[in-house]
Amino acid sequence: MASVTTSALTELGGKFVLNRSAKGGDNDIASQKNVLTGSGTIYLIEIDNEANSVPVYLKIVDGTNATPSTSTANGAGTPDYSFKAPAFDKMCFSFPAGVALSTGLTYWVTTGPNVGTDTNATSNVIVKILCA
Amino acid sequence: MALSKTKFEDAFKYEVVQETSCDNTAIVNATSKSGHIYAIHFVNSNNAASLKLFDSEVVSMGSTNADMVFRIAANSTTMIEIPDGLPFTYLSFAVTANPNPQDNTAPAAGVNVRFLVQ
Repeated sequence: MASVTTSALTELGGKFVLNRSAKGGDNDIASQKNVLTGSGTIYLIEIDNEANSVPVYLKIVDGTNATPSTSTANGAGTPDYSFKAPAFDKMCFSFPAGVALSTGLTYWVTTGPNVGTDTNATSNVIVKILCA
Repeated sequence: MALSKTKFEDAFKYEVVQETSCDNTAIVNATSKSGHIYAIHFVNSNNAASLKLFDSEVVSMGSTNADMVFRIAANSTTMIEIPDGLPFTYLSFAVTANPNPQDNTAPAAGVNVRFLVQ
């Protein structure tokens, strides 16, 4: 399942991004880039990594595109945010005042924290992002 | 820099770890024990920077990859809540100018960083 963005849900946040199989390859970015179609604010992130025996990292760029395999420091593969979800665990991160993204929301999920890692987890990682 | 740890003794098991001027000198194993992070609060009175968390007893700035990266907007206050707690073995952290998890560039000024841990 690719990334799906649903609009106008509740007053908590106007957009809900759901991906039941978030990936980290360069080709996977096609469905995970600029998912808000512009700027926005993140209020809640949930990463479900209960199916994997290794940690995964949700990486977010405030931009309209990214190239996860690029290992150049602060280049196209460098995220602005990186959130860890331990093995066999589900993590929720809440931002009461919101995290503003001035350009766009582009994300990917890989098994390594370092820049340039584009390896997908063995089993599906479910990502949910509540935005406005 | 000034690292402090505030406990609440019998009232709560939580502990507040605060570094009033966190920069690219890593604070390593701040709690001297494993635990969970339940909230992170940072106050930045200067240019944009990035908070790095390392679950490692040894951090070599410039080569150790951060496990978590949070962009800190210029002149901002940010709160992150983690209801279930993010488990850690070692609470180590630093603030650098750039988001690269191996960055070792000093921020324009130190950032006040607080963790609620248990």
